[in-house]
Amino acid sequence: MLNFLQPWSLHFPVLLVLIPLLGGVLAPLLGRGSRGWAWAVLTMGFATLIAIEMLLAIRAGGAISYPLGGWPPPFGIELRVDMLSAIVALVVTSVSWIVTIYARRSVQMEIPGDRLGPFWAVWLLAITGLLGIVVSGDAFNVYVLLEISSLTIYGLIAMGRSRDRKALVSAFNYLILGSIGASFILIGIGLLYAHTGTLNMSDLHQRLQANDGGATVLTARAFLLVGLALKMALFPLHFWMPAAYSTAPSAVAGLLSATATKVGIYMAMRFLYTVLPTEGGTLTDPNIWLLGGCAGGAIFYGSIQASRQPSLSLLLGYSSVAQVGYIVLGLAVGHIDAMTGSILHLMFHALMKGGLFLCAGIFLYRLGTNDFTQLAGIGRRMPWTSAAVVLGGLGMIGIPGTAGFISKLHLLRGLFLADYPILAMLVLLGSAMAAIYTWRFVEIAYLKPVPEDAEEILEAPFDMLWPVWLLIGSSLWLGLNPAPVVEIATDAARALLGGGG
Amino acid sequence: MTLLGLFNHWAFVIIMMVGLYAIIARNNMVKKILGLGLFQTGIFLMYITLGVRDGATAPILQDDPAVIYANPLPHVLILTAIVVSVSTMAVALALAIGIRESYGTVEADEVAAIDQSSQEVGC
Repeated sequence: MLNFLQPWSLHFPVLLVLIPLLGGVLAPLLGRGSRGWAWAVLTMGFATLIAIEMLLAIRAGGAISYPLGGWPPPFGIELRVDMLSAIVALVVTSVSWIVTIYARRSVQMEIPGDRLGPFWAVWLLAITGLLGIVVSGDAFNVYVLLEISSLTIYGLIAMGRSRDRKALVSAFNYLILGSIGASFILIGIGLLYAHTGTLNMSDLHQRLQANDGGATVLTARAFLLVGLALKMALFPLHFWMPAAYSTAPSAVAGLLSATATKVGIYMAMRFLYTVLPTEGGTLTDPNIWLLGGCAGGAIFYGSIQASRQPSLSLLLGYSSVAQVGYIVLGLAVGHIDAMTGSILHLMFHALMKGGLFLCAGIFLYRLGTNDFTQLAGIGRRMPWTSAAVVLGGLGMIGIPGTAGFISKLHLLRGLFLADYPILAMLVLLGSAMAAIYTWRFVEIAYLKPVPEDAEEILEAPFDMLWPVWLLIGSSLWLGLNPAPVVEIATDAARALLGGGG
Repeated sequence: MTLLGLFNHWAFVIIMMVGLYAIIARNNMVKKILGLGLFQTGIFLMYITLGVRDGATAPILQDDPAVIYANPLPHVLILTAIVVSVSTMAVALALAIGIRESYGTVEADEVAAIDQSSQEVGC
């Protein structure tokens, strides 16, 4: 452990929330120019450091429980960080750090100068809410933090208005749907409280396991499932996502695709396996088929829609709908390999899709659009950016050697071993369809001629390019050296399934 | 428990559904926001009902062990949820103002039609 962090090591879970919170509050005081950006980079760098140290501490010594204010759980609010939370916290902090580094130029272009201070404040507050959900061990606390992150995210999306006024409409629609989803989660938590009289997650799980409460808990489960499905954009409740991601400022789209939906999925894992009653560590049949069916629909529908979109941002948005499907498929069947694959895909997809959205942002920065009609021949005009898109696309397909291959391999093995060959077929079908939409970009970027009236454009500036290559490159590196991440993901999956599986 | 004994529960479900209907069926964005407010108010009623006990007083510590207290925890929780709901309304209204500024209307179908036609022109 780094020496200067040693005295703080007991307080890592709460620091992970406090640092971006304080950073966010102070950001507007720094005024215009690049100072707010530098501050955000500094803040997120520090948070990333803490997330790494926390992951190492948990790997060595097991889950951390942190009683807020010294009140012992289940009476006080508990922050609880196990392997899964530590992994998701590291994904959120590290990817948002890299996206923050990338964001300076694109944000300065897309956001009016007088809004820059508030922009970085809202940016850091959104990350605060997401990290809070990840470390919290209290069900109601999760709801409050969910609303903190959601409200700030609506604001971030709406800031895309100076580029495209449709951002306002998509933010409004997302607000209505997101608030209904969060309200459903609130009802679910209320019903669980009515049945058990506690809000602490591990206490809830123990009490529900002992007495599963019939209709009350079943109703709570239904409300929670619908609310969570809205939050993680699971088909058929995904409408808001492609619209929001394609109209938001491009750096915001990168941030959200890598973190916000991932935290939604994390919440689903948390509630389904460690709060609601399970049957010997797995879900019951109707739950599996409901989630599996939605996930299958997501893979099929998302991939088809992705291959017929007019712009790169929309293609990536629909591809995200499909990728959420894979992750949910793995978490639904409750087999240890499938769950491992699901957690791996959560990590790798954050890297790959984050990088891809940043590439879409670079095209936007240089060309003012990323419609496919304007991207003809872009592979020769901006070779580094286009190569990054192609490599990210190969990861989406799951070509051997990329990270996507490792996660899909585990997912497939789990689905076959748990005896769901139909769902496994869907994964293979989805990969083939990912090849179609990736090929579409290759065809437009490399095989079509550059339009004759096209202006001379430069390759992206280096300070935008290296964060993209860091994300895409690390997904490739993890595809070739997967052992350490597979090990921690397996640990997390085993803890989630209660040691069995 | 009799059907009438569940009066509060009936009330919260009906209030919620009225709100949800307004969100779905109204075209005007401000009315949608009002519907959302109504929807969330229904949930407050549910939480407050959870804390009720027959013949209970306010939860203030007294020496007499025979005094029954209402459960204060759901009330505290819902205080937080009310704050969240107010902030949601504020953000939603701010967005509605922004939409009015850039589109000149807050009717959902007119906004959609404007977006549609600007796409066809190609700008």
